[in-house]
Amino acid sequence: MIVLGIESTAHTFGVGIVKDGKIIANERDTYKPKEGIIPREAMEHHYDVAPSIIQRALEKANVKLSDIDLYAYSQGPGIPSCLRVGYEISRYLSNKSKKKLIGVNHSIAHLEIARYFTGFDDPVMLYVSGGNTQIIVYKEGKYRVFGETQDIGVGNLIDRVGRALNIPFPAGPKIEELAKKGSKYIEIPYVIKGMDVSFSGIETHIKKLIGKESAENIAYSLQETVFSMLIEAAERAMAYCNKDSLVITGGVAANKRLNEMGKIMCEERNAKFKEIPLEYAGDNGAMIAYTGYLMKDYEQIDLKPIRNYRTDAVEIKYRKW
Amino acid sequence: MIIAKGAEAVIRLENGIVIKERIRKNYRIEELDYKLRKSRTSIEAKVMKLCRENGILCPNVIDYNDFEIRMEYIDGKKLSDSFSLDLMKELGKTVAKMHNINIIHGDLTTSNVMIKDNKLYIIDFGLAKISKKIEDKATDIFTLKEALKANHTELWEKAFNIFISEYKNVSIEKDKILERYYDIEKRRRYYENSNY
Repeated sequence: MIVLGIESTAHTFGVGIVKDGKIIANERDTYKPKEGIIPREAMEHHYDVAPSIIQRALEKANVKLSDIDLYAYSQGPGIPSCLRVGYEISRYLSNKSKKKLIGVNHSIAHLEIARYFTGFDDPVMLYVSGGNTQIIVYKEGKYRVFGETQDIGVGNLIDRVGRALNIPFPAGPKIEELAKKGSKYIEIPYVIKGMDVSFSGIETHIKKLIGKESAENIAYSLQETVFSMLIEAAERAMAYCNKDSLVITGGVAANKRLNEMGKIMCEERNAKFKEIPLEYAGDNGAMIAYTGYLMKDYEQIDLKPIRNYRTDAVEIKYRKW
Repeated sequence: MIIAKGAEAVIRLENGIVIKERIRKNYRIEELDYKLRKSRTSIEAKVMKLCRENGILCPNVIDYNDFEIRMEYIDGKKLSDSFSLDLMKELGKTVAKMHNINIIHGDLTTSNVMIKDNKLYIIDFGLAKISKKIEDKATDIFTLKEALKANHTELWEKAFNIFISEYKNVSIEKDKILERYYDIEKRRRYYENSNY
């Protein structure tokens, strides 16, 4: 069975192809705004690149469009105008070829691709991206959110601080580079509430430091504080739910320091930790195709995009326990 | 003897006394780790003393230093292990009493409540603080709701409603706190019943 999956929830338009549960193509193109995302521009970007990305994925996989048995698309959560692109293209392709279309929850796709690469059966997942910051654990037939941000996503916080420091979007890589040169820890609010975290107070606090402290020390203190909060929340979820492995996924999982912290935390509690390949940590089409493959027997009635699609809204029928 | 190993502390039982020690977390830089462990230990001990002085049941603190608290051992069961709807009423009353004197627990879950002789004891004040803020009190309720939802998937809604109705009877700021609680629900990115 060959599945083609389309991802278009935010900045990235991605196409992945999976054959009998194995990834055989993963192509993408990412919209890079000067500042924050402009939904209409992101949508136009996705429509512009869609034909060539689909073509590239088919060539990489060495299959024809007529070989595709099932289509999957990222149904949400995401930006409505962006979600629309994936929905319309995949609906058109599936209608034309009379093949089934599956709507995939974007957060669950991140978790499934992390399980695919790490081989961990039942990990705690720390999902960190621009818009999302969640701690997800599988329990009683659903992926349940045990902790999440009470305001903005951690990637969003990093981008906002970056913008205040005149760093172009996405600010993550540059902030990471600056942080390596920082050495002075400046106290920043450390806000953890149960397994939830909150970042908006940190943004306000940091903006007041700009000009008074060096960019290197600000970046260093920002990373050390927010990543410690995230790893602490993840550890709480592991202790609370009695789970012995951790995966970190989402765009912010590209950060080496965050992975290092996750690794140390797991070592100290005799738990397992593995990084997932960078290409599959950020938004990608392969995770949608792969999760579509897992969900191939689902009968879905409403396939329209769901902007606020919650992780725990999906019943996980393909897992054995 | 180690009786529990949480995310941030090791809890030992020695000669009938519980010793809670906050251990070094090497993923955090030393400065931050030291500061967090020390301040949390001292706040935790102070909050527990304040609870006892105000008739809120929790373990009695014997003494404490930088990273360790020695306290009374509560020989009971966790609410999460012997969950019952009746006890949610008592919990609603207890949490309202705590909030009335500005104590925020910070990590309300059914595994942080012990039952002994049919009485509820609140434990693990590791993330507790003293605060008058409506936001903090509402967040406490929100944390409990999330924990109920995640751990008692069948009964959580009933349990939470019982909790809230008793909380309302005892809380002196119930309207403001509950109003803010609903705000927090909406603020989260993907709250329930929000359709495309």
